[in-house]
Amino acid sequence: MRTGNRELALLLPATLLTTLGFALLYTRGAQELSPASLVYGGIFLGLFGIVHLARRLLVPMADPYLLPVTAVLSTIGILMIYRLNPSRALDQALWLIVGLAVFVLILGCFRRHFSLLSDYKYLIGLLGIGLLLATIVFGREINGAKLWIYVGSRGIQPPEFAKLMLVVFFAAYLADVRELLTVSTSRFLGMAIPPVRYLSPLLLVWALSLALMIFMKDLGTSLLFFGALLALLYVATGRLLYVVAGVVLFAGGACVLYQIFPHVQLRVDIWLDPWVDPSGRGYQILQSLFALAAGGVFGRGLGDGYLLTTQGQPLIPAVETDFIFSAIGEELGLVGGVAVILLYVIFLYRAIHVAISARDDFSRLLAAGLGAIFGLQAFLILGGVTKLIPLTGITLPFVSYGGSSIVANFGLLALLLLASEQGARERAAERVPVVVGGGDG
Amino acid sequence: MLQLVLLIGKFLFLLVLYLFILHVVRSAGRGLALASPPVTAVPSASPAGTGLPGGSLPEGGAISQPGWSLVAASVPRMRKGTRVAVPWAGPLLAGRSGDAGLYLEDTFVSGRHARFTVTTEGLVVEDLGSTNGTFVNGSEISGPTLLGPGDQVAIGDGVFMVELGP
Repeated sequence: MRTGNRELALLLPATLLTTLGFALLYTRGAQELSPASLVYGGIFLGLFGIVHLARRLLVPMADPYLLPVTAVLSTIGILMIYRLNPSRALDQALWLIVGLAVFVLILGCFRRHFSLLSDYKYLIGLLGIGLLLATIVFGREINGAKLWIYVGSRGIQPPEFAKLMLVVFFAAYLADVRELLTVSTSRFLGMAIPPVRYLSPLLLVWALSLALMIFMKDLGTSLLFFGALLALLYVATGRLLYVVAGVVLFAGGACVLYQIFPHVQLRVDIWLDPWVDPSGRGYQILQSLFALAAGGVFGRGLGDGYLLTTQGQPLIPAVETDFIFSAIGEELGLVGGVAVILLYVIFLYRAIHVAISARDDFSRLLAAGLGAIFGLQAFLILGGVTKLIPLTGITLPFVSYGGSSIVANFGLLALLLLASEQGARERAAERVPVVVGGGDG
Repeated sequence: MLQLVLLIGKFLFLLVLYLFILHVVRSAGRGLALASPPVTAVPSASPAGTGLPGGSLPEGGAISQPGWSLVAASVPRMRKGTRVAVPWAGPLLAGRSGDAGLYLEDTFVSGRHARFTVTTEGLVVEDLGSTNGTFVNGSEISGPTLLGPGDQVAIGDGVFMVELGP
């Protein structure tokens, strides 16, 4: 089957899930079958159908699996948000449309000018840092983390976008200097270390991620930045030393911050024992665990969980955003939760696939970095709500409620597809001389 | 009745979800073999590998013709004895970049490291301004250098033996 048709065929299950999910929610709510769910399914198919055509037109050789996986994740997200808070689902649907528009826009802008991304790396990097600084200066603190900038009544989270810009910058920068970083010129404590000059931008980012932690009081975002940087360094140089050094640096920084900031201490303490304060600080994570346990193997069924109190208030604070996986776990069960995790694994696998089959350093590193940041984000929040690791408040990509998050993640998808298209084009160009028997390109 | 519909719906939802995942995994998994790191050097035992998609093979037609070839004496991540033919038609680029015909996965090799060309006088190697240089029989070359059978060419950590013949 041709790549394009394969993607179209894979979008059908996503449509079916939308229709089925809304049908279940309606049937349960109104006690009768309603055809309205077909309308939602239709709108969904229409929307992703258009985006599919655009993708096919703009980047015909790019990976055909990423968009359908995203579609299924978005479907599950919208269904859960609708079930929890119908008016927010409408919001989310609008943001999804904005996200898809941004996706098509990025593909359109850069498909012929992919190299612009690496040519203007410093500009993009500065823009990303600028966004972060703006957040620190003008940001408003909500739920203990300073991540929001308000434009009128609408809040946006600039770090979501800064994340992408910094990954583009890291990828482009490392593509340039990776050879220099593998050569050791000096020794320190018996370890060979590469020229400090080329490492300094990376140390700068380490400092930045600590600064983020201090000024934004946000563990999740800073961990993401740092994790993505380490992953990229490892992919670029193949030297485990960077990863070890990075982890040590981060652990050192985190230990110091743990001593200084009660915000960080709280997160760790609740993680170790939420029962210290079950109705206060430990309430959220305990409710999350109860919800997951209540779901059992197959879940209570969409709309049948005890996620809302009789007043319609959510039982788990922030259930539509950070804790949406707990709601999924309760209503779709272990089986549904594992399916969601599998979808993330598939996304990550495709990202790595794009990286491996890329032909130039920049698209390879870009795909690896985007995959790393995406996978890490999913892991951090999934691990957080299941109490595997201390909770860091970040969104579950494509599923959680949140405009900035969904738009930024569609941006990430667009960049990934551009890298994929670039790799496919270069591979196709390589194959031509073999057929013709002509010279090396 | 309604309860039954909801129950069936619940399992149907999970079923569709898993069928989707199964389909993607099976379909995407098929591409796994094609995504393995580029196969650039074809061992002399299997000349049939020319049709492999995704790999950046040196010019396919040149392999079967007698001519100059490089045999891996000790090259990182390349089997000993691996034979790479230098095509008649055009130069063979050695390096770590994706478009190199002789792709070397070695951190001491530059992106575009050296170029092998078959000329009327014989096989010529040329360093393309690489960071760590190209060595023929132990001495660094500064310009295009004519190679003869039995010469040793060192690129990065790898050493190739020049051979005449298929």
